[in-house]
Amino acid sequence: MSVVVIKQGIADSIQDTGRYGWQHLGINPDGAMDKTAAAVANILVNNAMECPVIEMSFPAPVLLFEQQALVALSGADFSAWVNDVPVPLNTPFIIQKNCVLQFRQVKAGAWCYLAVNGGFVLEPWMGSYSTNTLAGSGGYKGRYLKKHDELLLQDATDYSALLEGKDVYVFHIQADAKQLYLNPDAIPVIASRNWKALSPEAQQQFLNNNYIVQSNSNRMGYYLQSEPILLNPPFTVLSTAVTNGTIQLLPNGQCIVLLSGHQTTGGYPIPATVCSAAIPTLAQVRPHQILRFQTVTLKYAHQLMQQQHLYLLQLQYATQNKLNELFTAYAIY
Amino acid sequence: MHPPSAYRIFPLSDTAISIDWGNTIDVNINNKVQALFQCFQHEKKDFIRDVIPAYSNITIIYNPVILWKQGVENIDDYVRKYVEAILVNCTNRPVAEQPIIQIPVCYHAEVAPDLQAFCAAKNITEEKLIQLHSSEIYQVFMLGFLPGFAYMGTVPESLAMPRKAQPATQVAAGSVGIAGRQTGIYPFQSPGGWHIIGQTPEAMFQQNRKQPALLQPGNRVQFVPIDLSTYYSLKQNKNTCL
Repeated sequence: MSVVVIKQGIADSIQDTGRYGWQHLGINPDGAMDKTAAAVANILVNNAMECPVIEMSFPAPVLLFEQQALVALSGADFSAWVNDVPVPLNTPFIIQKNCVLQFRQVKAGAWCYLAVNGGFVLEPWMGSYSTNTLAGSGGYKGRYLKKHDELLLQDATDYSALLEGKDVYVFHIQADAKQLYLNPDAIPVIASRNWKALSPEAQQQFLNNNYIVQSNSNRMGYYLQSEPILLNPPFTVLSTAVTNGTIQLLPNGQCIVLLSGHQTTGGYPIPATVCSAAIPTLAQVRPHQILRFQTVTLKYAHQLMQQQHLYLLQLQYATQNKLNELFTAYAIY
Repeated sequence: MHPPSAYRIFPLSDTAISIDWGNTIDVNINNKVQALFQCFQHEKKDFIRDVIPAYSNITIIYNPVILWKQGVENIDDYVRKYVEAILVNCTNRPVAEQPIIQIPVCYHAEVAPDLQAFCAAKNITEEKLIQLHSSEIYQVFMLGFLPGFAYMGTVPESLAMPRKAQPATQVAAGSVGIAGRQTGIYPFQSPGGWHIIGQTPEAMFQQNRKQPALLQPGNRVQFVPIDLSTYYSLKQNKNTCL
């Protein structure tokens, strides 16, 4: 049995932690825009953190569950409902057979993740389930989800003992996801390839600017609008490797932050790179919202990453414990 | 290979470190990059996710979580020392001989929208362009931009042409282009700013092939001119023997 897309959203795709090992062939890594939210959603349904999930932006899809399923949502709050019951974010719930999950409005954030216990029946491509739209491979048919698509589920557990005939059962488990996000007013970055080629004034400008996220932003990167940062004298650079979080300085003095869907190489100067731990925060900033950068050391960047990783591990242990206790009590296996 | 003094090692991000010999297209420097690429690939360390060669630098993408699990406390220091050690030890490894890959190209205006304008701008005949472009053995300096897009060089000076000021909104898959002294082939239909002087019937990237990208970093490439009818017949047949 499947989850069926009965109304398509604007940019919904299957993503996991990304496709690594092939960037020397120009194959971009992809993966979830907010990998911590994807991990939280997986943890809450007892999956490994790396499992493929559905990444949704708004307007999001309307999904019909043809079977019972253990589901969790994390990341952006799009005001989710199962039939006429609102369901919370960062909390696992069981959805009844033939019920509809839909999203009514944007409350906060840009990308919401849906994980299902056991995951979907999909074939990996080059070691990953992430959708690569450039190559038309991976995920579900190598493309964004469309109306009538059917995602087969691995799990066929009977959750009737918990549902007791209702449309939805919400667990008393809540992940404190706020801990995983930073202040968009002070996004930590580390100085990168061309930082020293900026004049002291340009460096100051880079750190003082308010950056407005532009509406043409997408999975490849967020276009930022700010006071222009000018290179004096101007210089050009050859194409070279870029990463998730790379900030490119365009000839017009504006910046782009490259994100999960980025190409493997780029030919613009790179003043700085957003810290990995701050990419979820940045990815969840919506168009017209403002962000600012502050430089930190590489050591500090690694500390932030480690804290995030440890928090996810703690959440995983605690959640596994609670879910297993409950399933044992209700004889659900 | 000897690491020359004029390189720098720097963090590109908190999960990427680069070794850089400056901002230049130079076969000798790229040969060092390719040798290092082979060394890193040969080592296959579990904390290394990707090794990305470019014209005059190489970037190593790493996963700090794997290193924490191995008890490494100072990630920054550990990765830098590892990269420096490879840089030194790579000197003693023989570099694998690179094959020459032959790629058929049809240089005909029907499949090469910029061919005539290009020849006019360079004041050469089409025959001369074909002879110049196909007589060179090119090096694959790097891949990037699109899956399977190989940046090759070096194009003879008499064919050098800056990329278009206004990129074409749609370049066909298989299009062979020139930009500056680089040449390349679009594996997919895409917008593009290179001057299209030919078309290959070869599939540069196929998702279901064991090796989806036809060209690898460091490969050498020779273009073999074919006529229009050969182009169409090869293009029709290209999937039958897979």
